[in-house]
Amino acid sequence: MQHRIEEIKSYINHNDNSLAVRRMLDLCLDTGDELLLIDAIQWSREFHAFQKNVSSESVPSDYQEKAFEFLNKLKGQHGNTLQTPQLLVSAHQVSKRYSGSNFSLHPISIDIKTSDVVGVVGENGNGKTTLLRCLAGQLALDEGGITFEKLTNPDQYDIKHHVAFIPQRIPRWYGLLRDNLHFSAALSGITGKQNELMVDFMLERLNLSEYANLTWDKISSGYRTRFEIARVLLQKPSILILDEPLANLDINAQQTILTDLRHMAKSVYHPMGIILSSQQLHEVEKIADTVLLIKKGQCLFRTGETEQKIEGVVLEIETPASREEINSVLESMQVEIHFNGGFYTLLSSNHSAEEMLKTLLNSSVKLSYFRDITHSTKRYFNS
Amino acid sequence: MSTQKRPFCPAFINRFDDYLLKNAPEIWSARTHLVLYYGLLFMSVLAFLSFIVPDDPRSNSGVAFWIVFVSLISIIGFVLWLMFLLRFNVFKRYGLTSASNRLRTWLLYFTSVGILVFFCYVPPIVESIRANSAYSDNELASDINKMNSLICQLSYDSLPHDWVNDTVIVVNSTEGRYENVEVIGDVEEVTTSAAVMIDSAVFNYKPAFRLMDTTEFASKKMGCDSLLKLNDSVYVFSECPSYEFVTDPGLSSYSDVKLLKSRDLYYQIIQHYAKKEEAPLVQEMEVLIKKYKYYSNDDYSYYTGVEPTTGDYIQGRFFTDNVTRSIENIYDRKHSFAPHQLEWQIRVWFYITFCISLLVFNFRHSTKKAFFLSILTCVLLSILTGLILAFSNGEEASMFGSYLFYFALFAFFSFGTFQNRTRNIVSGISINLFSWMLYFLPLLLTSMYYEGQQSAYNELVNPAYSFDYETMKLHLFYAEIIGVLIFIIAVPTLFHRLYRRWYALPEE
Repeated sequence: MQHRIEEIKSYINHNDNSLAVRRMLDLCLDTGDELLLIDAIQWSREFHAFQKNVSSESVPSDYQEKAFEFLNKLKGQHGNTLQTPQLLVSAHQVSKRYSGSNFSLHPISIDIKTSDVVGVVGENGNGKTTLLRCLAGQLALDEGGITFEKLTNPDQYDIKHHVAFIPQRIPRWYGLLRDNLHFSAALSGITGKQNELMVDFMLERLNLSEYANLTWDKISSGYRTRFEIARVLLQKPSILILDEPLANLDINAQQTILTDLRHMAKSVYHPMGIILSSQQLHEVEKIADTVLLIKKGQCLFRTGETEQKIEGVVLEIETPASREEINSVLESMQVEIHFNGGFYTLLSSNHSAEEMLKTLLNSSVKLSYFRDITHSTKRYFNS
Repeated sequence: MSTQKRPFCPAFINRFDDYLLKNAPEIWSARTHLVLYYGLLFMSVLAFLSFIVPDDPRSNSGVAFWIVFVSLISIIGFVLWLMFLLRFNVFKRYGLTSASNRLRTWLLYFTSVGILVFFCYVPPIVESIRANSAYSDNELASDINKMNSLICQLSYDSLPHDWVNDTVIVVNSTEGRYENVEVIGDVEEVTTSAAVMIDSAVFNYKPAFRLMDTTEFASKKMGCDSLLKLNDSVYVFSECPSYEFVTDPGLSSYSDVKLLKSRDLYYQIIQHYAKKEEAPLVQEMEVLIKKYKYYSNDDYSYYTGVEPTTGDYIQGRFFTDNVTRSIENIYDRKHSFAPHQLEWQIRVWFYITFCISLLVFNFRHSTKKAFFLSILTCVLLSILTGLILAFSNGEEASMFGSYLFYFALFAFFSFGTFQNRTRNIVSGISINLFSWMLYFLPLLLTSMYYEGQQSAYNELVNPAYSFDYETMKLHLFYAEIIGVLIFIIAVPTLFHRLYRRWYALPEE
């Protein structure tokens, strides 16, 4: 608790107020104290109102004082602690073949525990969505099996209540967005005052309050994704499956959603397992505990397992220099060079990434971008 | 609280709506509370309009036009309700739901549809209330008696005074099953009653006597003016000439004042006729005619080429047809919700409501594809069955047999859902059709029983069988009740499990 309070104070001191507000809301939810949560929601509202009305980036000093005052109140609280991760779902050698199609998903096994974030990456049409839909119970398995550890003799309806799936193309909502959120919370047993509180919390947590009284047609596709996430989270699923959730989001929103998802997975109030697919490899790799690379229906790479067997170093660069220039500079280092039209991929089994970069810079090769993708699934996209 | 604005919606309804949204999502999503509120509001306005609209109870009822108009509004209301209903679905969102919720949901749909269907009943109810407040049954009966008595007095010389006699021999219907056997001298001819009448008119003969079935005899005995028994099987029916120029037979059931029959008028006026001063009688008659005469366009007479009868004379002088029509109109309006009418009025309401609410229930628990294919299957099977029955000269029994066959088939495929690994469209269609057919099963079995009895009677297997319409009606009513009970039990038990299992199965 103390550690989290200090972390929030640090955010405030560095003017990362938006992040501070989100962490504050999470912290108050984890305390289980409704009054504190109501205060935090109010605090968040004031911040968002301020953000909306004032063009200046910094908040007034009394706002910071109030925030510290509120945080001091939290010091006396005994926050609940995150329990040991528990196994939620165990998929064993899951495979799927579509009738009338050549594509098939080859056997894949995966375990998801509470607080886990699993990223599934791969090129289009390689089986990411198929894997997610199999896990969500939307597709019947040809072979293998899925066990939901928390459920005793579940039927398919129980499983689908337990597992929330957000497809890439989100079905449209009807009526007010707020009503949809209240409805989703209520159908999962969150009723009365608790319903109002949790909807307010979720709206503030995802910064959606401003749009709550609008309809589906009046919000952008990015906000639709965020509302869908809010709706699903209110249903308190044990496993959240998201298919390409970042597709409609801008770069900032992608970062925010991914870090929020990570924090929500590790929430003390309702820890859950998250599995998501995306094309944003680096962003997903940053927050995921495990990343699976699916290629032609097969799991080609899995962090934690496959990366131990990795040999050599892979460096991705972007430069105005020609291939011949790069070749001449790195010739002595025996570097394998690939070009995909945008980036160069430099593969070396004897030299480190730093050595390669140093050589390039010393030879006055201009670099506009570089990234060590040795341990990233990105290296498999270029091969 | 939701900021959605609803027209003419008071704050307490919005508060209640908000409460349901946050506490009972399944009840909230059915929107029955809004249908009830707006339904009552609309019915109040409709009732008010029906009260103030100029309408004479003596005229032909214009309620049919109202019903068409209000039906269109009901349809619009139904579409609006569906638009709101289909927005939210706890079941399809895999929310927390129980078996009892299935029944509650169906009852809410039934209530909502019932309210919308009931709109059409408001104008007839108001019309009936208006007619009842304008004329009482006793008043109508007294006026009818008075008019008939006055006509008898004023037209005594023009009226027939002799009774018509008819001699019959009664035979036991269960032994001979005679149907109007007419005996003329030595010739015996089997004809229908209508044929007898035509033959009598054309050839101008009168049968010496008729053989009469015991059933017909019993029926005729009830309504005859006079009956003379010659021996155990030979009777003479005597029929009084008709003096009921203005009448409404149905009225006698509701009025405390007894309606005078021709026989009564004969004994009171014709038999011991004493001529009275005409002027006051005519004046009295004119008052009554003015009270009831509504139509003016049928007062004229036209040349028909046929010698006018006594009836034509009476009609021309006292406008009896016109007055009778007005009284019939008043009577129809007054008693449009009398018990015998109410019975079928309720049935019409119930069956329309039941069928629509069942369709809504199916739509809410199955996929669009399965729902519309179910309707298509139903139509195709009806056509196919009709063709098969037409080509095979099939009778009711074949139709009932087809129904039972389809019922068993759909039940079989429905239960197959528990074995399926994927959401099978055939199972989905079967569950829908199974739910449509279940209610009608007791009705069908009862009808089959009576059909069997009738066949046994016709084929002389059971000649002692006596068809009793009232008992059959009662049994069919019991079958309807049992059908409802079975359906109400099946919704939370059987259909809840079937739909829950089927809908949640993987799609492929």
